[in-house]
Amino acid sequence: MLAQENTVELKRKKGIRQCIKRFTHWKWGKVIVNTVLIIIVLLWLTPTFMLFISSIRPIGDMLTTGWWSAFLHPGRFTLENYRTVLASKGIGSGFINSLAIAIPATIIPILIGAMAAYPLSFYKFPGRKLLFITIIAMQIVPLQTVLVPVLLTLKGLRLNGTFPGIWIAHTAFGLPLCIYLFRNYFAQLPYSLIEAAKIDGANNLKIFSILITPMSKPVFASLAIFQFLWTWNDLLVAMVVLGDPALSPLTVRLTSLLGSLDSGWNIMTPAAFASMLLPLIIFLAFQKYFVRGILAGAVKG
Amino acid sequence: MTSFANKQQTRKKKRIYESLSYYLWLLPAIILILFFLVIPTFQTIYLSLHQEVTFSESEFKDHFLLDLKNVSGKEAGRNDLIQQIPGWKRAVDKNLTQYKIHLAPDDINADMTVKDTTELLIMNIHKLQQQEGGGQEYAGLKNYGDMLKDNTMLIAFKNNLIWLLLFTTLTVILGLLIATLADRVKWSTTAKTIIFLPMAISGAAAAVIWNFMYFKDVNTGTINAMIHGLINLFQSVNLIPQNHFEGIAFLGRPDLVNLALIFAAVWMQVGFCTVIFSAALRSVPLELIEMARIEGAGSIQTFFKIEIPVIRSTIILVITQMIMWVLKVFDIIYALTQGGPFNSSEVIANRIYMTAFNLNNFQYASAMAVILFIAVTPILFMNIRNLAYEESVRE
Repeated sequence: MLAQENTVELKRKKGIRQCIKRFTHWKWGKVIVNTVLIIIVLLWLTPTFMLFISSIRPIGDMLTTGWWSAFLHPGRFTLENYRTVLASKGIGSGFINSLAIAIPATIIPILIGAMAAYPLSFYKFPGRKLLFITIIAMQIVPLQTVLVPVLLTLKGLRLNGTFPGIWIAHTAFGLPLCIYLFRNYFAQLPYSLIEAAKIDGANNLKIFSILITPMSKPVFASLAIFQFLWTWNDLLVAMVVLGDPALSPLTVRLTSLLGSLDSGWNIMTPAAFASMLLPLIIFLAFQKYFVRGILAGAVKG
Repeated sequence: MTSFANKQQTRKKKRIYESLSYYLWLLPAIILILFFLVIPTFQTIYLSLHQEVTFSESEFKDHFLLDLKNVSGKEAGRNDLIQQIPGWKRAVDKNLTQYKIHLAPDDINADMTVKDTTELLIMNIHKLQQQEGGGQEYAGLKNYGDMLKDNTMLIAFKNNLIWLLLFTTLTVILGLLIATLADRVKWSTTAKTIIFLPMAISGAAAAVIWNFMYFKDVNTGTINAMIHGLINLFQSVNLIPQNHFEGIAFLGRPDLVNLALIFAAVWMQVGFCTVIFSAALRSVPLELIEMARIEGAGSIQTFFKIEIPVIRSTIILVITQMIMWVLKVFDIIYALTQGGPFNSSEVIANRIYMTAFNLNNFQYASAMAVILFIAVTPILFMNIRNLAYEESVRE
């Protein structure tokens, strides 16, 4: 019954929207709107597209003619640059390092954050409000504000320059957002379900793992994407925490390539494009969750 | 009576146990947030009020120049050159005399400038200091005062302000424009996806992209080629006089570098604004728009008189997010220009990184970090207030 009403309502709204569009947008208006948007979209696509096309051109062509002239000689496209990148040790190991950093640094904060959000969302206990306000406040603190003491702490634990060190740093920096989003989501879940489970004798662990987690897949997905993109793309934390160049992720490698005087564009363009590939695929595949996350207030300090 | 008291007591006990069990769930999060966010914030404030124990200027110069000469084996080290190096005064511990500063001959190569050599020396001094636990003394607000005398820092402040104004305005206006336009076409999902694709790209990769985009050569640099094309177009219809276009070195010119960087950042972040605005515009009650239309308001009028006021709170939210983003902007600047040319694109975040981790002056860097922290506190309080409001609604 309710669902039916909803669809009727939706149809009506759609009708009004279309009516408005028809009512106001005479032919020329539509043409103008489409043209302007097409121009903007093309402009926005150009840089990424340029990188891709350049990465499959021979280095000689890349530095003498524009990427757009590549289409005049389509036969000259080559995967040579990618072969060079694969052969060069720096980029390949950078890719592996990026994975080794990003995967644990995505999973750990999500688990810890979900656990922390569970009591914060459903139960009243002393100190709850203070905890939550602290977490919200920490969401705003800029990374740069805490980096020096964090490095000193990690040094004290002898974890600087190690992967566990950077996992801990990323986890701590990602936690406030994780807890905040989880709590917002959990708070919408029907409390009666949990009460019922309690009466049936389920303990917290059971309620959390069997009841809450399966109902919260969307927020887990949103956070996984955010945290992965964030840790994969991170430059600052990696530069500060990982001193050892052997452990540096792709972002650091790319930056130092860019900074070196004889920048090898035949290495840099494919490396940059390869570094974007994984985040872009994840982003396109799970765009829905990404957008949901942003709308739920996923903004990090 | 006693049984009632007993019951109450057991209930109380049970509640305490329950609370404790909840804290068990929270424990990992509390430990991490406490030791890696809360305490570090206070540590930074503490550090910012201190300084490394300094050495008198003349003594410093004597030792320093001597070392420089010994080390590089050439008549290097003109005082005025050394003075240009930021933070050089604070670079040396008072116990310098006891340290034997040795640089291995391999560290120095013939074509290093005086500045390079000096920086290398400073770095080594700091390494020594850190190994020996380095002296630190209370300095009051000296670091903050130094900032006002530090030219590079003043440029950074100015640039952050330029970023704040330009970047925020551009992203918000472009975001609104794109969201409104996209709402009126059939391919809106595709358009929005393409617009926020760059959000998935790292600052480092974006730096590679924009370095290439901004090539000075009109044959290879996309932006210059576009300008060249436009100029040719106008020239062909005699709108502007014939003139040979050489290409602009966007990243090499102090007057243009900030604009170039801001544009690259807008490219990365506009998608965020678009997503939020698009959702907000969709939530504007259609009845309102309908009414305005029936009253005879045009598209543009409806947009400014109805839609903008309705989504006002969203616009404020987006503006605060963009401000936060700007205050912390680092990756793309570090990777593209490192603050150059001639410090003209320096920003606070880059200064903090350089001062703390290249010059190893943690105290001075902490003072900068505190400034950054102060800049975001209004947003912090706003968030907490919003939260309190949400809570009151919820309960």
